[in-house]
Amino acid sequence: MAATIERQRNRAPWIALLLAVAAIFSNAIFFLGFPGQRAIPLLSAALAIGALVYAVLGIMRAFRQPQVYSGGLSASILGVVSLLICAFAAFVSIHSRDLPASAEAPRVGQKVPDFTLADTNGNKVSLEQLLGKTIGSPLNGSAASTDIHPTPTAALVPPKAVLLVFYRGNW
Amino acid sequence: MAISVDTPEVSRNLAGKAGYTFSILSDPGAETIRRYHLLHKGGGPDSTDIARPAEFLVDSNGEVRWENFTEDIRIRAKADEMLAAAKKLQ
Repeated sequence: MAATIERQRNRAPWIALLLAVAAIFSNAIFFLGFPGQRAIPLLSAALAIGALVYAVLGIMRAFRQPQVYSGGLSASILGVVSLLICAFAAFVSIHSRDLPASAEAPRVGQKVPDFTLADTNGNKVSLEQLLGKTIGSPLNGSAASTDIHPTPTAALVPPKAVLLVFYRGNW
Repeated sequence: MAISVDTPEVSRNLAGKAGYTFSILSDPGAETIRRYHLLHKGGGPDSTDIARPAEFLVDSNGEVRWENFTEDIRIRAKADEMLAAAKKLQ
């Protein structure tokens, strides 16, 4: 039968390439703000490992069973491309974890240093002001209000706490 | 309060685009970031110094009541985690 003699298409290298690309793009899930972001590093690693398994499988099929599978050259090229993409995924993973330990940063129970920084309007804002220690200091971030007779509104009740979020910047 | 090395202009653009209503503070010289021991040397574009991601809930005495230091920039504190920490103070 002609159909049984015809060599099968070797899909493994293509699956490898797809998984390798997915390993890179899985990192972009971060920007979508989905829940379950803790799974991103694991997902990326799993996809990269899957890509390598399929790349090896594809090359082995092409060279060990050339009578069954076609495409030895394409399997090799795709294998190398997949490997390079996986190497990049590994680089991203290592780079993402390359953070200072910040062992001396304030811990629970410790006092944080005060600061005075400019807000988006260029107004100086201090932590002390934010925590409501300064009489009549507004608490909604517009701390540069020069009103010396602030009306006693609900907004002037000192907050129970302030959340400080340090981030890497917008770039 | 969000704090980064970005200038007020950059932060204003970010807030405008993203629709953020919370305050964003600028620490272009990273003095405060350094004082909090959160400096990520060369971590930014063109090897500039930036802040490593970290979140603190500071009570009215200036004391840390909750904190979060990620070990992977792909994992950050979620809003509900921070809200839960804030609710515990009440």
